[in-house]
Order: sequence, then C-alpha cells, then structure tokens
Amino acid sequence: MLELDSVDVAYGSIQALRSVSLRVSAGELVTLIGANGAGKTTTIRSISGLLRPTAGSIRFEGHPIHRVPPEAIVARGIVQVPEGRRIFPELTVEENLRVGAYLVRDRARVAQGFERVYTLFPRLRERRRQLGSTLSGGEQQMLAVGRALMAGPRLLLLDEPSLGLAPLLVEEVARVVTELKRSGITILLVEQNARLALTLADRGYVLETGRIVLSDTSDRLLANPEVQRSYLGSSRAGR
Amino acid sequence: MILDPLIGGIAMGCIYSLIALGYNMLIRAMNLLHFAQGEVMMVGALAGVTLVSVLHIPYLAAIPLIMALCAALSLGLDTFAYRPVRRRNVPVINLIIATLGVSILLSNAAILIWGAEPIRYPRIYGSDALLLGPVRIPPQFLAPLVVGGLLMVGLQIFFARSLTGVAMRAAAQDPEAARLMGIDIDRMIRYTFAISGAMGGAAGALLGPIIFASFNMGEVIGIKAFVAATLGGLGSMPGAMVGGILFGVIETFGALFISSGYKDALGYAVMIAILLVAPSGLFGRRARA
Repeated sequence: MLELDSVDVAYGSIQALRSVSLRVSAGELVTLIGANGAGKTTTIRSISGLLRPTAGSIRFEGHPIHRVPPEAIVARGIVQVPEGRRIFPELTVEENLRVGAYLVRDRARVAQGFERVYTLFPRLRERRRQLGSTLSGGEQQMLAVGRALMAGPRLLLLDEPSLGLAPLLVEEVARVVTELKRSGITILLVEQNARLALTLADRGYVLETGRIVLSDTSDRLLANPEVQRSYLGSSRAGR
Repeated sequence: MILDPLIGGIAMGCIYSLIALGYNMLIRAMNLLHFAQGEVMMVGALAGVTLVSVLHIPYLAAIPLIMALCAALSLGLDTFAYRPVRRRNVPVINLIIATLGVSILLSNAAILIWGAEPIRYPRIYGSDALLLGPVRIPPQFLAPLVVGGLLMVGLQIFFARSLTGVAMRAAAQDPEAARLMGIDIDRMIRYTFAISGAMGGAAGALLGPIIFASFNMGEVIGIKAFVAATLGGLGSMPGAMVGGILFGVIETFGALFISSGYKDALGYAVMIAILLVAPSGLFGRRARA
C-alpha cells in the first residue's frame, strides 16, 4: 500500500534520512521505532508531503506521492496524527472534528464520522462544546486521533501518540490503536515507547541516525538482544 | 443631549470596526500588518462617488458593488504584490514594507483617476432624522449603523457556522496542522484578503457620504482604525468590532468635551495609552507559542 524506496531527506545541509526504504501492506500495523532525532518524525512528515525527499520515491497504492502537496495527500487517504497533537486550541471539540472532515463532501459520511468518533471516545461527546485548549493532554490526544478519523483515512500515520501521557492513558492509546486496526485501517505507528509499539504492531523498523538498521516481525524484534539493549531498556536501566 | 454624540460615535465606530476587521483578519491569518487597508477603503469611497454620481446607481445598490470591487482589489494586491514577495520566504517585515509601498501606490493611482481634490457625494440622505423614542438617528448615520451592523453579524455567522469559516480559523491557528486536514492554506489566505477588502470597501462606501472622499482619506482613517484594532486586541475579530465602536465613541466625546481641534490627536493619545496600560488590548490573546 505504501512504499518508501531509498528516500533521502535533508534540512539544508543536514542529512536527516539516508536511503530509507520501508513498506506497509494493506491492513498491517507497522511501527517505526528509534531514539530521539533518529528521523522518525521526518519520515512521517515526508510521507504526508510536508517535506520533499531529495532523492528516492514514495508510492501510495502504486502512485508516486513525493511531489504531491499535503492537502492532496490527505485527499488520497493518508492522514497524519501529528506529534504533540496539534489540535486547534481556539476551535471547539466539535469544530476540530468538523475540520478533520474538511475534504469529505458527503454530509451523511460526516455525520457517520462524528458518530464513530463519539462512540470511540465518549469523553469527546461530553466536551464537544468546549475549546480544544481546555482539554487535558489525554483528551487532546483522543481529539487528534478523532480528527484524523473524520477524514476517513485508509492509511493512518500516528506520530508519538503516547508521548507525555500518564500510564493509564498510554493503555487507552493502545486500546484505540488496536481497535482502529481491527476496523481495517492500515497504520504506520511512530513511537519512542518501543515496547508498546512492538506489542501492538505486526512488523517493525528500527531507525538510527536517519538509516533503517533493522526490520523484522514484532516478535522477533522484541526478542532481539540488540533491540532489547537499546530500546526496550535492560534491567540495568531500571525502567 | 448625550445620546446624539453617542449615536454619531457608534456610527463612526462601525466604520472603524469594518476596517479594523480587515486588519485583524490578516494579522490573525498571517501576522501581516496590512498598511494598505485604509487605502482599499479610500478606493471604495471614491469608486462609490463614480458609481453613484456618474453611473447613477442607487447608493444602497452601489454598496455591494463597491464591496465586490474592493474584494477584487485586495485579492489582486495579494496575487500580484504580496504573493511574489511571500514566495521568496522573506521575513514578514519585508512583506509589511511591501504593504506600505502598495498604500502609496494606491493613493497615487487614486490621484490619477479621481484627482487630488476632495469629492462630495451627491445628496443621498434626506434631512429628517429617524426617531426611535428618545433616540434621534441622523440620516447619514443610519447606513453605517444598519449596514455596518449587518455585515459584522454576517461575518460572525460565517466564521462560526460555515465550514470555510471554521477552516479559515483553523488555518490561522496552526497552518501546518490545517494542511494535514486537507485545507489549502493559500486558498484560505486568498479568502482572507477578499473578505478584508470587501469590509474595507463597505467602510469606504459608508464613510464617503459623511466626510469628503479623497485620495488621502485612507491615511488618517486607516491609522484610526488600526488604533481601534489595537484597542480591541490585534488579531481578534470581536476585538476589532468592539474596539472600533469604542474608539468612535471616545473620539466623538473627546471632540465634544476637549476640543474638536484635538480630535485626530486624541486617537494617537489613546493608542499610546493602550500600549502602556494594556498592550494586548481588550480581547488580546497571549502570544502564540
């Protein structure tokens, strides 16, 4: 469904991604793990069209999309939940969701989207008249995911959905991601919390200073001693 | 009678509000201080003279035409002057200086078209005031109150209810997140210019019959409206409306109780006072992160 082939991305003279290749098939939940600054967000932003690769290609359902502007990428069915939620603080919850369905022209589908999101996150229904800025961190994350769902994505890009959330809310994120996968949405999940990500995902890629250094099924990555040492926190790290 | 100057102040204030809305929409959308906003209003006022005196279009019918013309003008300014500057990814201050250049250009163009002499609108209003109980509304203030009021209510409804209006607010708050929702930021900016131009045009059409229309009216009125926008809070829509009306009232009573000779100076005094006491204005928002 999504294919990155030898993608290079640079910020000015700083090379952020070097020859990154990865693949996400329809229905899969794939994760991209790595340390801070490894290039995870850069990868997501390139797929969304916010960054242009300097070399390589990104294809979605066979069509190249690496020169397509972000608005048009959303129209093709790739929707991103950005890092840090980025909800619109001075719009109400309902308005945030409505804007998520900006490209959906069919009113019935918009109504279905609201119903789907409010069923998944009953808290958002209770708070629908409140401004986005008045929500708690966890509620903002729900809103960010809900807003993305309003667009009816076929491929959902989740950038650090658990970042900064309390353990109980991290579990909630896990529940939601599982539920979304079950509903048939293909997901590319970027996470610093590698254990969480690999528990949820079918397959994973490990990114180190802009390069993919490992790729395997989640089970094998979880069992990989190198991954355990670097990303899962050995007993010495005392997590 | 305290009510008469109050009505006059509110009517003038509605006009300031319309211009201030234009300023604040552009500040909100792209941190742009559009110096040529007063000149767009001036073109509206002078075009109104042409429509009403030369083409004999009824005044009320001319107002929407003037608004459409000024929307097109404002859109044209963005397309041919500001967009090429923006494409170079220059600091916003360069863009603001470009708007200053455009304001001078518009004043000079107006001299070429309409001449340098102030022009009087033909007699539009009768002399009978509208009496609402104890409130006496002079005819020349009726249009600013009614048309200005309707436009502001309409704009509020547009931004609160329509998908495009909500998308414009979203794009102003976080352009990148808005793009990730499929919103075309360039298009939102074009809408912003068009609407702010239409509001400026309406202000000109309403102001023309009250004072004389002339090529340099945009300067003084534009600055006053900017003071009004600052008073309400830069970048705020309710701030522009309340700030404009409040400023109109302050100005009118200032002229009444102090001296009409100081009327224009009073505006600057108000601005300095705001900047000292409450720099973010009445509806001012904290600086965005």
